[in-house]
Amino acid sequence: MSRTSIFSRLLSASIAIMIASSASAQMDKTCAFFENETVELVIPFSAGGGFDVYGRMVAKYMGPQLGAASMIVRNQPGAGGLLATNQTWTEKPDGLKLQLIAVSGMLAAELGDAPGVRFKTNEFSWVGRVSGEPDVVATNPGGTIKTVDDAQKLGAERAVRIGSTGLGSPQYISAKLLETVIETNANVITGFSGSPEVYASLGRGELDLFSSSLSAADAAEKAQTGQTIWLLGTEAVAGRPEIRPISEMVDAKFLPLIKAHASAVAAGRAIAAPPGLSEDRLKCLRDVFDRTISSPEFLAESRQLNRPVEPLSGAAVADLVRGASEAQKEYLDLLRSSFAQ
Amino acid sequence: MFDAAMTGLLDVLSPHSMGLMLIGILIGFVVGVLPGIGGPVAMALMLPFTFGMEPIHVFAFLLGMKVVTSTTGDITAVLFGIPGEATSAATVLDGHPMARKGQAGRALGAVLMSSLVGAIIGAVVLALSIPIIRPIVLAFGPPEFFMLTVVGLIFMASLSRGQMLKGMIMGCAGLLIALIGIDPQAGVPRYVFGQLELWEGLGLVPIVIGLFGGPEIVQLMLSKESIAGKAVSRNIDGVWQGMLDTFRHWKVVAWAGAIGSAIGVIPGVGGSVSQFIAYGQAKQMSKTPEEFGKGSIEGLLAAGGNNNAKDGGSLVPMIAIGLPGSVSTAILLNAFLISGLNPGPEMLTTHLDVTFSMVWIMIIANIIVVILALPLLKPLARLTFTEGPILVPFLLVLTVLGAYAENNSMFDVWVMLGAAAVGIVCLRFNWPRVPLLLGAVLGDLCERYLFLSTSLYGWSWIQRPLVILLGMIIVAILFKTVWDVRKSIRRSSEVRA
Repeated sequence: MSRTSIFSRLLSASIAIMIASSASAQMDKTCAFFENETVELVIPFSAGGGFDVYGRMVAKYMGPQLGAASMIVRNQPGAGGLLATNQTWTEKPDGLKLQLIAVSGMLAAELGDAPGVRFKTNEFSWVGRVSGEPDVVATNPGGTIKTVDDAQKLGAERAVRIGSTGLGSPQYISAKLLETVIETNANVITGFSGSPEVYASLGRGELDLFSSSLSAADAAEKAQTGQTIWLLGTEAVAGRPEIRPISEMVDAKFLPLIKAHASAVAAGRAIAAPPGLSEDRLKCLRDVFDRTISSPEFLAESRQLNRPVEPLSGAAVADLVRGASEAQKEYLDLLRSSFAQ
Repeated sequence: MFDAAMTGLLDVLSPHSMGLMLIGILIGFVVGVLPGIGGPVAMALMLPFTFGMEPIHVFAFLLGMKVVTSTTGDITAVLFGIPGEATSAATVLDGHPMARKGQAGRALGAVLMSSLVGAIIGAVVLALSIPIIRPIVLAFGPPEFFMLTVVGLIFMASLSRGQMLKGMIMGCAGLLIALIGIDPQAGVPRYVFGQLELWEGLGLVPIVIGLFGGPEIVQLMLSKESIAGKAVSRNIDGVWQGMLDTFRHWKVVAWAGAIGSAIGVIPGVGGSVSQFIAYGQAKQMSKTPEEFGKGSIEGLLAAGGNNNAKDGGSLVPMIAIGLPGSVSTAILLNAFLISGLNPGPEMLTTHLDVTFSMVWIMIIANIIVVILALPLLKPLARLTFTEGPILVPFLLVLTVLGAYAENNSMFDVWVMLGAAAVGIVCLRFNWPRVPLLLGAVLGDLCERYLFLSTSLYGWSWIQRPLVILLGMIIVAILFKTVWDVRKSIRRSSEVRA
């Protein structure tokens, strides 16, 4: 190695350290506000559930990183998350009140003109995504449906039964999308209390198809109440080539619709502050969030608790939400038909 | 299977598991004795502390806690007339009248021992069902669930005998309360008046606390006396007598335990229905049904025997196919996933020892609860002789806290106060409260499963064998109720003549 190259490497390394330390000094300055403050993270669902675990994991590690005196978790269940989200929307945007939001559900409620929505998802101050998993489609274990053609063949004999929870739920929106794109005689059966109950019904052979999150489908596969067959999106999941994207099997005219849905779902579970949070505090929260979620301790806990994280920066979440907010007419129509008007 | 059972037992008996179980039991005891703050709230709050534990340690801690909150819920139901959870409302019906008669010690002894016997029955049912667990769970679909809710509703008639019309009106009012919220089929908001808090319906915990606790508190305030103020007997030493009552009326307890564990298996329906079925069944079998609701030891034993037995049953669908049947089993399911276990066939093969460890935890934790609670029963029973003005402020705080705790919601406190007002009016004008609760608990399930059954099967669901069997049971219960009513009318007219 020549002397010049060693010198240039040393120089570039020291410049990098200088930039990094000045950036960290700047960040410390922007984050000074949070020192010894109490930050509240609102979870829009009951304590003890899967959503709650994610929130508590983030709060445990993000509070100390932020330099806050404490970061407390408050559960505020009600109206499928609308109650808490409406309230966060009107909170003072000082960065001390944050919420973990089920983005696709809130986005769908807003775009579908659901009653009770008093916020604009696009205008929240997005801090970052904790997890985001795609929707998949499952059939009953040992079922005959493997391709969309199979579903259409079944549809020629009798209505294909697609399970769902109540109207307006994320599962109902996926079920309606599935019903639209497979272009066959299908019937969405509503009224199940949640994914486990739909999977139990699928396991009994009462239903033919059900669309849920990938983790729910994986759990059902292990419980032998469901068998995952398709991805309700356009791009295969890394490491899961056996789950074929449905876009490969349906008419190309449905591609934009599937894409719009997949990108809304991709926004996943993300943390947001009320709209109008000042640039510097948002930057601080975003930087601290990014640092927290990539820290070895956080990742170790996520692995230990079997709660995989798929982080995405606040700016990227904001882009996803903005993209989905400008969805095309077909997707908006689908969403509007998914809520009782 | 025997090996797995033994491995499960040894794992549970390890110092680490036993230590955690004791901690869980102690936390559950302190939290559970507060009315309204039952198992689900305690478990949800404690779940984060299990992060990183071994599966068996997690269950020793959480299940131990769940078991003790079921029992302590019964204690508050007996002492103050305020049930710990919606699923233990039946304990109030006879337990509290006994306390008012000055027999709190006997009532507590009876409820403690019958809970233990019920829990053992539940655990045995869980253990015996392991080889056939999946076919059993999968045999029950929405049509069978619907019929079971109807069986529960039919007991409304039996529970309001003597004031049938009032009972029916209250039951219908309960069904109307169940209609509040977003309807499960068409997503239409019903009777929500623009309030998002009403979208998911009225919370059962605040209704139960208000309906039963409200009138008790007002009575204590107005009379300025203790709970057992006017009682002739002031016997707080009846604990042993109460425990012996469990064995004296062993048939009642065995039936209640069997009903609790069998119906507890049905997800969603189990816990809330089984208490009324067990209670109603005990009333129908009893030679002194007129005593029920006025402090009948048989009524109390039926409620107690059922209460902990259903916990064993409710674990069955969760273990077999990952279907939680109640709020607390949903939290346990989450604990499963967090500790890397997958409900389903794995739990019956590679992790069979963990499944058996849950059976052992149910048994051992219940025995520990009885041993720990025994010395406390006498001082607790003495509370019923404490003067009202001293007791009331504590009870007020506890009821408000209990209503608030489940959802951190002030709205629930208002619901509790509304329910308390209804409860007071009911008590003043002698209208039965239980049918109202029964309607509110079962209305939602009844509607949902009826629509699901017709959506899935058309009307052909009526021809399913289990549906026909349950239909026959309903007809038999109706027939027996009508027969008993006619008999009692004839008897009273003979007496008058």
